[in-house]
Amino acid sequence: MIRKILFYSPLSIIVLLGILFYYSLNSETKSNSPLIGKEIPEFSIERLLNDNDQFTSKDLTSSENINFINVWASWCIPCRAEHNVLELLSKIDNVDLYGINHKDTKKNATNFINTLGNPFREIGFDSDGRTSIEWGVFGVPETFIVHRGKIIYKHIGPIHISELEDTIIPIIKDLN
Amino acid sequence: MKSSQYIFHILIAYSLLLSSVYALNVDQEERANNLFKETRCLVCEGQNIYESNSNSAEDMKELISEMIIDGNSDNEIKSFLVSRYGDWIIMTPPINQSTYFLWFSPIIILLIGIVFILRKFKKNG
Amino acid sequence: MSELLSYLGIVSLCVCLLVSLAQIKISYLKSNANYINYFNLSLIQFVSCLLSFLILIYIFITSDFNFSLVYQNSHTEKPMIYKLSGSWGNHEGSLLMWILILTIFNFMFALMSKANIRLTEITVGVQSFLILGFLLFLLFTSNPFSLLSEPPNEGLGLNPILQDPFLAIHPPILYLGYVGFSLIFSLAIAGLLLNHIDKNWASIVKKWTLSAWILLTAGIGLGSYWAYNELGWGGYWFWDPVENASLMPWLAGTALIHCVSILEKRNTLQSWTVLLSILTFALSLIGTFLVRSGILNSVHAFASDPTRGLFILAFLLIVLIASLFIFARKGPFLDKEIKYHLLSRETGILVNNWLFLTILFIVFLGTVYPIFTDIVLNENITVGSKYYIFSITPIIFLFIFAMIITPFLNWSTNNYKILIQKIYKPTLLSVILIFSISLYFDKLSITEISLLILSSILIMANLNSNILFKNNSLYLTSNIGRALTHAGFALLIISIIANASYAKEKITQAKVDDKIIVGNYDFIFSSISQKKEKNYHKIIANFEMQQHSGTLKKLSPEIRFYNNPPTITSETSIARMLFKDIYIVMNVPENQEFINVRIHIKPFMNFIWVSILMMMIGGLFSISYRIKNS
Repeated sequence: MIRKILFYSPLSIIVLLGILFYYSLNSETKSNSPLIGKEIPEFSIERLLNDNDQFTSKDLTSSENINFINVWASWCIPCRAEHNVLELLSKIDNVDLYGINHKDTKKNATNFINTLGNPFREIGFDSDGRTSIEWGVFGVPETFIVHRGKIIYKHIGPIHISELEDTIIPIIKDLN
Repeated sequence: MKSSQYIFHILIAYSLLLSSVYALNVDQEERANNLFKETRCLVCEGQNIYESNSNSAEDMKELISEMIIDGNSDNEIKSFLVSRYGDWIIMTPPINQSTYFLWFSPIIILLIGIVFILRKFKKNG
Repeated sequence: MSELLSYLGIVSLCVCLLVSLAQIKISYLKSNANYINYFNLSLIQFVSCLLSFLILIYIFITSDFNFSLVYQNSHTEKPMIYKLSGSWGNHEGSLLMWILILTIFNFMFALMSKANIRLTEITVGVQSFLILGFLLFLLFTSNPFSLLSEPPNEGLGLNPILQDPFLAIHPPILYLGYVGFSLIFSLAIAGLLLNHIDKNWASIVKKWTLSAWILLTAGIGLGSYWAYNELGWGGYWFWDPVENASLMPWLAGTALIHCVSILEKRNTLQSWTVLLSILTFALSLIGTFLVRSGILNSVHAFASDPTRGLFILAFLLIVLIASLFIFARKGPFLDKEIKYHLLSRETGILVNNWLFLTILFIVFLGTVYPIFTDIVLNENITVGSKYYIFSITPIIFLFIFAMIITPFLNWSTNNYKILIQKIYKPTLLSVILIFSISLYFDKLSITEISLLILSSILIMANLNSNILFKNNSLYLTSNIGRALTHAGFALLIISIIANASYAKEKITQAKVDDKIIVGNYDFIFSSISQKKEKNYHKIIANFEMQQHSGTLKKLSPEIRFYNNPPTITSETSIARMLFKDIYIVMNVPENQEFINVRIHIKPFMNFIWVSILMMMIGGLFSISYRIKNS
């Protein structure tokens, strides 16, 4: 009897594996940042558009609004595609959109802003990418939603208009 | 850029700040290399930053080198990375509840084999 | 013309499909008059697939961009040999190659099989079922002959990284290995259905398994050799998921070879052998799935596509569930129990099998675990090489120990006195040898020393008892095949350890005229130059490797700039010496007056390649001995 069950075990294992693989094919990469739910990292970097001032973590924690931090670069093509979504985002009530310019030159970054428009309330100039590492950034673009000094959500890659509607707006509503 | 211009830049242009990866002494360099081999490259397919030539890997190597120079221990550096990127960034999986099966099941399989063979010979007499 | 070719290509495949259906049907019927039929049909299956494959090659060689596949993967400026290899260097082409090889083995078996007609017929029937499934998959999801409505003038596929001779032949040989095990699978299912798993069956299986095994070993070796030469990290094995995917069928296949020996000589372990036969091919299939589905991160990834992954998974599950169900039903009745002593060869091989399975389990677990933690636990982890090395090393110990003892054991009885007599000399010699070496080279750990001693004993014991001098001539015993393969394996272990322990490397910046010291050598960066080639231009850094003020070798790593598509590659420069390789790679950062250079000293690399060759040659000896004697 045990013997018979033993002979069915390879079959069962394959079925279980099949189920696992099926789900893995259908799953999407979730952004599993370990920073979600934690406080934002402390940072202080030059402002892109005003040399004399610093963009710091205090700028984010001191406001009651919902803060969006978008990490971008002028050499990043998906960042261009995302730009008009960011424009929409910046117009929402109670939402402040900040940018961190990642591993770029001031010249190219400023050109980018001048050409495409500036949706950002402030832009930090992270030339060596250190601040991005503090935020756990893999690449550009990435966007963080911050509220009351805590990271609520992280979006990897450019934000599509559909993602804005389906995922991001509901989060904003929840937080309000 | 024309290749002649490229060579021109290499031969004539002045070097920028020496990167900190190269400012390590022999012991630090060994620690650094070991940490590089343990740190996963953020943008590559499964490589570690020791192997990768990507910009992201270079940045990471710089950061780790600086942290070594600043006096951080290996564990502190690893914790720093894990706190920002998760366990995924360390090439060797951690040993915790989720990975007990991964680390300990081979021994169990071996033991099952031993039991199997011994039982067979008990039967045979 | 292109349309005609496209039609012809697809029609050929449909012919093969229909004939495969016919094969399946006649394997159902029990008439002996089918002898001529199944052979002829297998010939038609082979020829129709061959025609289709030749058309594929033709459209690549002629750069016919009417075909979407050629457009995606080829380019007029590609050297001819890479146009050729480009035909199988993509998903659809490689799938067609898989199918072709399935039909090749099918035909060869129909032609050469010494089995009785019924077994042959049903084996061909099962094989045709596989051919059918793959054909359906190809025709419905991966048509290589699809045409573009507006043919472009030029193709996209000129990635220079893919233009390499080893990369060109690595897939065909690897597939010959993977697909070779399909025949064993078919034989196993046929044997199960006929309740025919016995010595005769084992005898037939053994030859075909050895062939597939040799090819798979070659395929894996080639891949490793390519990685070492091309990837620039000085490594040859990375525990990358796709590499693991080729290693797993190899582990199962090697266990199978040993198992079949027991079945053949002692008529026991029937169900285990059948299970391994199914498992080996199952692992080939799973490997294919993992690689092409995109659920694994790997440098190897084909252009991945989840829908394709879904189809492959479905096909895979159908084949495996059906075959394992048959196994579950028929398996319990197959085994003949026999009695043998604890210290007998049967036990030795059983131990060998269990250890192989444990290693296989580790490799499989390491590869699949990240998927498991992601889906089930919602956590992301990475399983890197340290896990594999930590888990597998203790097993290798037991393994080599068993490998040393088992060939000297008798079947069923114990004879430990003879065993000790044969082993004590190699043991003594090895202990002395390795200890002396370890005193001189002081970097080895206890683990490594022990493994080296065991490996050395293995080599000596094998060669000693199988290469004999009699009457002033050299005689090779009939077991020389096994001896060579086992000695090759031991040499592989020795080489891996020596390489890992004594490798030296330095990563540094260098300006022209700098001297870099690595190990006992001085490396002088003598000059930097540039050159224009047909489709790229390159910067060459010239190094002279010196010792005691004599120049031993010259090395010249390069950076190549391709125009189309704009790609930058780094070419390693390797100087091969007997006991070590010198390996230099460079990187040229922008606007700097220095280059970044990595210099590696890699001991024993040549022995790694030699050991793989030894294993293969040992296999060839074994096959030729069997063919001579049958």
